[in-house]
Amino acid sequence: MSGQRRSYTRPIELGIPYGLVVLAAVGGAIAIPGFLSPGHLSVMAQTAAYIGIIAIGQTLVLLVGGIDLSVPYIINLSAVLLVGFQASGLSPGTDFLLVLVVGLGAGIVNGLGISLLEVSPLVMTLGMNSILEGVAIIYSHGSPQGNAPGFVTTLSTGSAGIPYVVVLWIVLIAIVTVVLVFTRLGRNIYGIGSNRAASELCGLPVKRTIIVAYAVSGLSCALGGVLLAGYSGQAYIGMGDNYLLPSVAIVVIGGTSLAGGKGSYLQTVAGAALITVIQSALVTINMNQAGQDVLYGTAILLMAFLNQFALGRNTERPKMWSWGRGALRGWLQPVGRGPGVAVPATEQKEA
Amino acid sequence: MTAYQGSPSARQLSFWKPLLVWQRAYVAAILAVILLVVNIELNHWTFSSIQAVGIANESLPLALAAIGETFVVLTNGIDLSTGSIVTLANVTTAVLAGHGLAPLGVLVALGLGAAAGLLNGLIVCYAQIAPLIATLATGSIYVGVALVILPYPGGATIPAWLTSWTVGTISVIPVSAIWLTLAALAGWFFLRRSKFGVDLQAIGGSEASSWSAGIRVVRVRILAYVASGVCCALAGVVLAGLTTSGDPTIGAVYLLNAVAALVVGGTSLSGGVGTLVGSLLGAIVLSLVASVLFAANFSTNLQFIVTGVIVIGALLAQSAQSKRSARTSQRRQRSSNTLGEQPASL
Repeated sequence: MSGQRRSYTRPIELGIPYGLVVLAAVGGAIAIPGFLSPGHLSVMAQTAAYIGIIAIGQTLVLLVGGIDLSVPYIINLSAVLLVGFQASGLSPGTDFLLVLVVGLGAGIVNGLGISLLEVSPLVMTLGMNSILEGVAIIYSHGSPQGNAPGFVTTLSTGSAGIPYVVVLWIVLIAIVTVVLVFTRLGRNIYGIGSNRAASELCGLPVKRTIIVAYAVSGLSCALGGVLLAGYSGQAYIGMGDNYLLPSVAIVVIGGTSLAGGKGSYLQTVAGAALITVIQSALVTINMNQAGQDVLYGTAILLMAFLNQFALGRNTERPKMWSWGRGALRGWLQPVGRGPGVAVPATEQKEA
Repeated sequence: MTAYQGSPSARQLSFWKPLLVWQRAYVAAILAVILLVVNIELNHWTFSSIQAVGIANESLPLALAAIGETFVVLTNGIDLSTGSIVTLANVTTAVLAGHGLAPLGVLVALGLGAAAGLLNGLIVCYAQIAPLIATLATGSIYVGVALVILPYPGGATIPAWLTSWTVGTISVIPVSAIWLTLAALAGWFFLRRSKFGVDLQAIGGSEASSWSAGIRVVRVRILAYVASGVCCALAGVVLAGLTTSGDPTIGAVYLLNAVAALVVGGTSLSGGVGTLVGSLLGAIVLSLVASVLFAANFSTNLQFIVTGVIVIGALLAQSAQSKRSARTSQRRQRSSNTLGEQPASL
């Protein structure tokens, strides 16, 4: 905790997504009466909280340069186990903890496979997803019976002015942000994401940190699954399917780089808020599923484009702010390297 | 591989080279043969029996989607809009066939697939958005368009010729098996005997070197996405023949299964190394798993677990193999350098 601490996130990186959230909210308020009423705001905050909590792990995993595709069935298995354990007579507290441990375990197995056995994250988590799907279906025989424990339902749907789940989310936001900015673990995550080889040479515990990132992902997905089971009061096979793409999308919309090392959980929070506000507005004006899908995809593309160029991430290209001769032309140059472009260090090694 | 230790003579190389090119597909080939034998034992199949036709029919769309995905993965990209393009082609064929315009439906479906792939390629190359995110987003858009075309699953009047051309039988041979064989031959030709295929693998190996060597990197990369789109569209058309209906949710399973089939087939996710035939065999393996489990009186739900284990296991085998061949090639390079020869390259 030395006095000099360089923030990993520039103000503009937070400003753009949060600015867009405000813009979308104001737009919604103008188009739809009562859009920013306290009641609707709390509903939107609650919706954002579920996906936000699930995306904690995805944020960390993307920051270390991986990806977690086992999100849907960690969520689903947690929900199935929660109601299953409850039906088989376990006490609610043990039930809750046991489910979180299972999620954590799945995450650790992911991390072990990826860091020690060097399996590609995409395939390891994809395979894990398939395995957990089988476990969930076999455990529940395809149709989970039973209900979520009472306190989980209260946590998920109850409210004391502010919904409990939003309070939980705010606490988690604080914890994750503090861990990322102020602890050694956080700095290791950024270091490994931005340059893994250098981190290894510096003696950072690369493998351990990667395992921790995937373990947190398992844990946060398990918590998300528990909350979703609490929300609907029961579990069903396929309930996690709709969370895979959003969990990646909101992290990217927030501006966290897929290549790792750049971004923060606060940006993911903005991404969750932005997607929730847009979707809520679309639902309110009765846009059908097709239109929502199209707009969802377009929003991801636009935000990815904006983050790519507006923030000057792309070192091979002129920055958006350096308006000058050829700035636009530079943008639209295709990806194939032109003459005079330095070959990145990774490829120099191969050649 | 043992033949390669030490310094191989040119003659040894020329004999083993064609076989070694396929080395990564061997895992899938062996798995497919084992599963097939087990299947025949357990089910007492004959070649024309209904299950064998079923397996061939089931593998065909998955194999096509996996082959499409392989084109993109070879360039070190990934196409997550695979399932959406399958859906889009499926509903387009079904809806136009419902109006009695089945041939037009097939053409429009293939055209849409090519256009969707082109859009993916343009976004990846010109907007420079990571392929994962770009195709994730366009996938969402294509599903949206498919939902506009056909909002709910519906039986359409798929003409008999389309069904018999995709899932019929010629005397005892399932048509889909013929298509699979043709796809394997075409895949071999594209990848090993056409400029496009060679360029594709070169780009996956090293983009900078390919550019320096005069390969039109952008054009080849965009073409890879177009090829992926067309293959997925073909899968969608085949599915229309297979299910005799259109379904806006039909493609969802094809995304992850196509990637799984490709990994089992030995294609490296970091690009440059892989075979289309391997992906095809991978698709057959995945289709056989469920059938074997069913025949062995296990719950078919076990298939998810077995599939997951096979995919991770295949990748482990792959990384062990590539580590070993990296060691071998280092050794070879060292020994050949001392002899003043050119390093042999596969």
